[in-house]
Order: sequence, then C-alpha cells, then structure tokens
Amino acid sequence: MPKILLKNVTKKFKKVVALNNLSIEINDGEFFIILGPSGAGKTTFLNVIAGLEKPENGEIYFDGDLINNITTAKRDIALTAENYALYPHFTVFNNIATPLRSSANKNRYNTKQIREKVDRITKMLNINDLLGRMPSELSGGQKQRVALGRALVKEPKVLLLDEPLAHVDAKIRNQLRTEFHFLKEKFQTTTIYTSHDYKEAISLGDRIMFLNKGEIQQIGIPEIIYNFPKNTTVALNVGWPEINLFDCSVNFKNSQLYCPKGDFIYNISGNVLKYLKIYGKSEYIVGARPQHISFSDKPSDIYNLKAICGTSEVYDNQTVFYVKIKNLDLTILVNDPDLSLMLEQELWLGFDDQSLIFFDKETNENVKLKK
Amino acid sequence: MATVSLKNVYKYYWSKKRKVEAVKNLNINVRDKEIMALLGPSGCGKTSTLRMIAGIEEISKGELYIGDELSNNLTPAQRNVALAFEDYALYFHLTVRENISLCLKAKKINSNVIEKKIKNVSDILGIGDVLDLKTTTLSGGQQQRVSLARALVRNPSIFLLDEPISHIEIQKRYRILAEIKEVNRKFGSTMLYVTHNQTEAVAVGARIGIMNFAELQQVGTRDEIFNNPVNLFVAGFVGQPPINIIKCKIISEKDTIILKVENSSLKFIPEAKIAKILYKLNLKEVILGLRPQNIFIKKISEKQKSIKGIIEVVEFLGEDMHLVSRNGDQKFSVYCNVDMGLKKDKELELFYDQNKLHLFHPETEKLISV
Amino acid sequence: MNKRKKLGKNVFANLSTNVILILSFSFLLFPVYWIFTMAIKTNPDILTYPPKFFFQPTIKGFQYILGLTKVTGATGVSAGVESYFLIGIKNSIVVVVSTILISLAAGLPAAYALARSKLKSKENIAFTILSFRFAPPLLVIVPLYLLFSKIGLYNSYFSLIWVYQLISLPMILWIVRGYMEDIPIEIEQAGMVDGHSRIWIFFRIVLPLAKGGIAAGTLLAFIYCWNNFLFGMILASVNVQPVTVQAMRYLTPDAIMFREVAAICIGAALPLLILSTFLQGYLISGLSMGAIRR
Repeated sequence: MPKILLKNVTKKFKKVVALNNLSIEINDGEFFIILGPSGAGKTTFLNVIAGLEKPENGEIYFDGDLINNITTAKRDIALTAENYALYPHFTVFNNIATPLRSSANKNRYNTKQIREKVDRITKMLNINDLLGRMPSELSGGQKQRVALGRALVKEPKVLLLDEPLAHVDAKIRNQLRTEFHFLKEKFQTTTIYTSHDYKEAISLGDRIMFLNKGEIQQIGIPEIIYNFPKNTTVALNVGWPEINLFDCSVNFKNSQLYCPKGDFIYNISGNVLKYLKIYGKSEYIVGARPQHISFSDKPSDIYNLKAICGTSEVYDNQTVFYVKIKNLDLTILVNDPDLSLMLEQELWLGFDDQSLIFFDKETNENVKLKK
Repeated sequence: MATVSLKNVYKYYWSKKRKVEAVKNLNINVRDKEIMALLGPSGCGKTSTLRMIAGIEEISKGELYIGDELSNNLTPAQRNVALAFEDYALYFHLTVRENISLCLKAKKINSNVIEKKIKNVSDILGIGDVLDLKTTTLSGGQQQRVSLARALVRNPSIFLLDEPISHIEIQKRYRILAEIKEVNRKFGSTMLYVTHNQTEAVAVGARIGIMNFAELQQVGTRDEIFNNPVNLFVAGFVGQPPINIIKCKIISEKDTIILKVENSSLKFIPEAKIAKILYKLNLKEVILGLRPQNIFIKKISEKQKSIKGIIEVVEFLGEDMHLVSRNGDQKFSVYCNVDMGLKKDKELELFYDQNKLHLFHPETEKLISV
Repeated sequence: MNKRKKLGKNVFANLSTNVILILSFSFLLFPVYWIFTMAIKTNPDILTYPPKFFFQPTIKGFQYILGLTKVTGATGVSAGVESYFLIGIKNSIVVVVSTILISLAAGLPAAYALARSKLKSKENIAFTILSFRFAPPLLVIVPLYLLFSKIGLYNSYFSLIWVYQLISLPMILWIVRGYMEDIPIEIEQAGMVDGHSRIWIFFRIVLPLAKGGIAAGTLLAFIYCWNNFLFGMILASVNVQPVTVQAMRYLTPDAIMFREVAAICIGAALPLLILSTFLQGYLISGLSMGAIRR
C-alpha cells in the first residue's frame, strides 16, 4: 500500500490553476523530490498534503485512509517552510519542544521526556549548544537545522520540506546537501522535499517528480530524469549549463542529420538511426548536453564541425566555452578548469551521438520514451 | 591608464566607544583594463574598501591613487568611477532610457551623442527592447542590466561592482557575468568586483584578492590561489567542494616523514623537500590540505601515492560526482567524473600526487613551503 | 585645500541645523513652558505685563487643586477645599481604563479575524469601523444627549465608557490589524502543523508577536480618550466628569483661577507621561522585531 496517495487533486487560486489533476503514489520510507522552477506549484503541493490548503477536487490518502477532512493538527506530519517560520519569541529549545507540548499529540510527554527528546535531536543536528539562543541570533544554516529539529522531534509519519536549502549561502548549501544524505539514512521517514535546484534533486532523491505550472512533466529515478528527460522543459531545467537545443532534419539514406541554423551535416551511427526510423519522423529537435560535445584544434573524422570560439568562464572545476557554428550558438563544458582557448580561434567539434537526445518537433517529447 | 592603487589604507569607525577596524593596512593594485575580484566572507572589509575607492566613505589613513592621481579628497564625481551596487537603486518613476541617459543629460552632452551611446550599451546588454518601459515592470535580471548600462554609458575608466548578481534568477546569473566580461573586453574598463561567492569570483576575475578580518590574505590568479594558498583560510575559502582539512601527526619512519591521522589508517607522504622543512621546524603535528579534485579513483601516473577509504555518500550531480569517503574516524571528500559503478559501502583505493599536498603550520596556519 | 573646504561647509551646516532645531523646539514647547510657569507663579506675577521670566515660585496652586488648602467658613470651621483634580483623576482613570480594557477584549480578536479572514467583505467591515473616527463628535453629541437622557444613561460611567469606544476601538483595531498582517502566516501554520489549536496560536503566537502594535494602539487610544472633553462635558455631570472637564470648575463666577487651571493641566498630563514612558520600551521592541522579517 503506498504511504501517500493522491487521486485527481486540483487546487485553484481564483482563476489560476496551481495543481492540475495530479495523481501520485509515494511509497513508505521514500525520499520523494518535487523539482520545478518557481511558480510551479511546489509549495501549494506541500500545503495541500499538510491540510493548510483545501483542494477543489480530488482525494488524499495516508496509509489507505482518506484524510481530506482531517485538520492539519491531527495529520501527523511535519513541515519546514522556505523561510523556516521559527517562533521568533521562543528560544531554540522551546521552538523544538513545541510539537511535543501540543494537545493534538497522541502522547503526553512530561518535562523530563521533552528535555531528553530535544537533547537527542539537537545533538544529531549539531545544534546542541544553541538551545538558549533566540532565532534572530542564528545564521541561516543554524535556523535551517532548528526548523529541521522541530520537524523531526515528533517523529512524524510524513516529513514535508519546502526548499530547505534555498536561502542558505552557496558554500554551506553544498555541505548541508551532503549532510542530508546522513539524515536521510538515520531517520528513514517518508519525505517530500521540494527544490528548484536539480543537483539537490538528483543527489538526494529516490524518485523525482518534475512539476511545471501545476502539471507533472515526469516522474522517475535521478538517472532517468537526467539522461532521459521526457521533454524539452525537463531537459532545460535539469543540467547545467543548459542543454543545447537545435532543430534538425534526418536523412535516413545517408545516415546524416542536417542542422539548418548551423548549416552543417553530421554523420550518425546505425543504432541511433534505428529507433528514429521506428519513430517515423524526419524533423526533430536535438538536445546535446554541453559535456557531450568535444573538440579538437584540428579537423578529423570524429571532429569535423567547424566552429569559432567565443568567451569562456571557469566554474569551480570546469570551463564553459561559448562557441558558434555559423548562426548556431553552442555551450560546451570541459572538466578542466585550466584549459583556455583564444577568442575567435577555430575549433573542430564532435558530438557523442549515443548521448544525443531527440525530441519530437511538435510535442517536444523525448523520442526514446515513446514506445 | 585606469589603475587603482591602495597604499597602507585603513578604515576605522567608532562603535560604543570602541575603535572598530574595518580595513587594516590594505595594499592592493588593480591593473589597467583588468577585472579583479575582491572576495571574502561578510564583514571582511571588502565592501568598505569598495566604498572608499568610490568616494562614498572616508579613508581613515593611507593613500588612494586612481591612475597617478592621489584621490583621497576627490568627490565621487571627480573620480570618474561608476558604481553598480547590489540593490541597483534605479529611478523607478523613469523609463529605462531616462534612467540611462540621466547622468549624460546632467553633463549637457548633445542628444544625438546620447542616443548613440544608449544604443551601443543596450545592444551589448540586450536591453534594446525594454528601453521605453518603466523600470518597475522589469524582472530582476533586466533591472540589473539596466543598472550596469547606466554605469557603463558614462564611459568610466573604473567600474566598481558590489554583489551585482545576487538578486538575479539562478539561470540568468552566469550569463550576466559573461556580459560583464564582454563589457570589460569591448570597452577596456578596469573593474573591481566584490562578492562573497567564490564561484563568481573565479568565473569573473582575472585575479582574485581574498580578504578576511579586515586584512588582505592573498592576491593571485585562480591557479596561484588553488595551488599555492598562502594560509589555511584561503585554501578553505576558495574551491568547491572545499579542500579536505585533516589534522596529522608527524612520524619519522626510517629516512622519510609520514603523516598519520588519528583513529584511522590514513597515511600521507609529503614530498622530500617539504619533509626536510618539517624536520627542520621540529613540528609534531601539521594540518594537511588536499583538494577533492586532487584525489583520483584511478591511478594516473606511477608517482602517485594511495590511500584507502569506504564510500559513505555518493552524490550524483549530473555533470560530475561527489563522494564522501571514510577511513576510520576521518571523513574526506572526493570529486570525480560520473561513474555509475560507485556505490555506498564500496571500498576504494584512491590516488594523489605528493606535490598537491598543502601543509599548514598547526599554530600560524600559514602554508609550509620551500 | 579640498579638505578645508569640506570642513568649513560641514561646520556651517551643523551650526545652522542646530539653530533651526533649537528654534523649532522652542516654538513647540513654549506653551508647555508657559503653562508650567503659570502653575507656580503668584497671582500678581501671572497678570503682570510684560511677563516675568524670573519670579519667586509658589506651590500654592498645586496645594489648592489637591484640596490641601484650608478655608475657614463663616462659622469659623476650617476644612480643606474640594479637590476637583482628585475627583477628575478618579473619573478619568475609571472611564479610560475600562474603555481600553473593553476595546482590547473586543478589538484584539476582531483584528485577528480581519487580518486572516478570507471573507470578501473584510475590507468593507474594517473601513466601516475606521470611519467612526471620521465623524466629528460635535455632529453626534446632541442626538446622543437626547438619546442617553431618555434611556436614563445621563451622568453614568457606563455611558461614557460606551461612547468612548467610538474613539478607542477603531484605533486599536486598525493598528493591531496592521501588525498582525505583518506576521508571516507560515509561523501560524507551523503552530497548526505542530498540533496546536487556533486559540493557542492566538494567545501564544499572534498576541506576543503583535506586542508592539498592541502597545502602540493602547497608548494612542488612551491618549485620545484621556484628552476628550466634549463627551464628558455634555453627557455627564460633575461627579462623573473626567479631569479635562473638571478643570473648567476653576473658572468661577468670583474669580478666574488661572494658576489652578494651569496646575490641573499639568496634573492631568502627568499620567499620560508616565504611561508613555512605561510603554515606550514595548513600542520600540515592537518596531524592531527583526526576527519576524525575512
């Protein structure tokens, strides 16, 4: 039985449809990530599951029980908001102890038990020395941990995390993301985690749901979402730099594809052609991830597309090059921060055609996922 | 020549009867036509430095030279510097065009010339289609570009930027950095770019100056800073994932020095010339820094030494991977290309080059080098 | 050379700013100074022209309004004069404090409802309540007098407390509602998720976080109610009238007791000063509660 089941859930705000007829199953103990740009409906989704918003239509089940009419307080969930929503006038200790003192709590804890539980959780989150502080005295990363502590201390059935790393400093964000792996292990709670950062999603998620404008674009494991994006929207939002997209037509006789914008012809291998033939069309949008385009300073069989080099930037451990083939702009990612090329230098590019993604020109959908 | 030189510059102010030093003995030179990034955590003094150069804050002690001119007492207008600050402060009741041309109109420049300049600048920054809109209707990214255009159109010799992209949507952020570099290339304006984000600093700056606690720690290119960090702070601040910092005990075995890690079986072997210095300094302990990018899962050369670790966390990040490995009680990060064969609890042999080990004095935290 | 120019400019700017500030404050505080000196002058000193700025002070005025001065009647019996001041203070305190308490009891929950409700007519209701402040009391005083006398409410604490709600309730409601709207709703939602009832959230989260607004609203309402003259004068008689109206009783047919009127003014203002000082801390902390802001 799935832990959480949504059937045809729709949520509207006046005329805007925030969630459009969603049906999803989330399994027990799963770390389920909702990925999407801002405005996609991620916070609304969490609020509907928490009971803070009532859907216009649809049913929500926890462990098989319909919970539409159960109030938030009785739903045995925990939620961390994007801006942490700590009680500003309570100390860290009292913030974390609050869920244990509520009337809706199934158990009644005495002062000693509350103290023990808060101690245990804060030790695990490394905030045990902050118990007497007020939220205004904490850094972003510390506030985030207190919010997590408050959520985890009551051992909820379902944990809802709304963009937990969005407002943390870049440096700390990566560290916290790694720490989430350890927390995931320790707590094993069914979790729904929202983010607009694909790295968080593919690093932490057991499964990822890509949500855009209230509609599900794709649900799958991280490797599938990254390597087999269902449509151009998912492909553009997952991966950095953005995937290169350009129109092409396929000539099956010569095993070639022709790109009008760059005015070039490229040979493609037999097995790639095979599934394109099965699909049947000859006009596609081709997606080439920046790390799957390679180049050489001399032309050869593999590197045969002439391009002019533009600017480049070093990002941490990689270099991004902006190149141009006639009118086509391409971004290339190289895993070497020390590589530099001259502006206006001539390059010869080659595509790793096994990793090229073909999208239907009309529906924008990934050809490989249409069987 | 649009250079900026600070000689023995100090900035202090008084807070609750105590003297607070925001900038201590700063000596830095920004070269003509260079983009220099000034990097450091909040409160390190980088913004105070920028404001002193701009002329909106007094220099408490020391000299500021813009070009060859001593500029301490010049007003901001007289210094011919343009500012692009974090909250861009556009005139919201004016259109984009009016915002950009305001300063030129004040200087009574011919309106034809103004038109030409506006067209030029808006082409480079891609805001040609929003020129006649009110600034309040624009997105954060567009507003930032207008702020840059407004500064640029004055043809300043020096551009001062303070966290200019922090409020822009993530996808657009790095494109604006590319545009800023384009501006520097095309117009040859010297730029000083202040930020706390090391990724930005490395992407935009030809050289990077790192500050901490009011003092300049190091100035250099990305390579210089990565490969020769002057102290532990610099090593730890620049680089993503951050450098592994491991406390080691120095043990002399036969003729060599070996660095052992407590509660684990990790052993690091420094280069001979560094080992000699450790011996001379008679140290018992040392702090070791090894970048995750310099730990490899496959042996690349014969000279490489090895260490063992069990994988605790595998982070698949799309274009690359991040591993957390454990040996005894010591955890360390490894950065590598995508390899789907790596799974949790797998035992790995990992390789490193001796010359990539950075050793820091346990008390002064300075780099131990030849 | 540039530095010297800057310095000169600064000194002149500072000096002229200070002079303007001193002049403005003198102008504003002059009436207070005048009344205060009038309260401690001897009667001849009050009436001399040109006015005396240096004089021999006396506390006879304050003694009189406090009823400490003894008068000997025709029969030779001496007794203290009636202290209109103490009667007035007692009435003011009873009426205004009760008014504020009732306004808080009704206004705080109302403010919360108007802050969080999803009713379409929310703004209309709120504005209607505020509009009571727009009507000048003079407009309604005559009908009110007729009505109150008919139903036997003339000259009672109850009627004054009721009528004063027109002043204090809208004020408290509008100010506190603003503060409550500024509380991020996620904090209240966190309370719900933590399992607490709406009542708990209201008393333990909303009210503490709106402390600044409650203090500000209470202080303002208190000041306006305390200073009110018209309602007390028309709708009540001497045993119920607040201190503002009691001051009038020192304008007797025999003599206009300037000094005593001035003394009662000072005396009437004192409670307000004390209250403001006491609540000032809350006002400031309410305004600077940085933890709420993102």
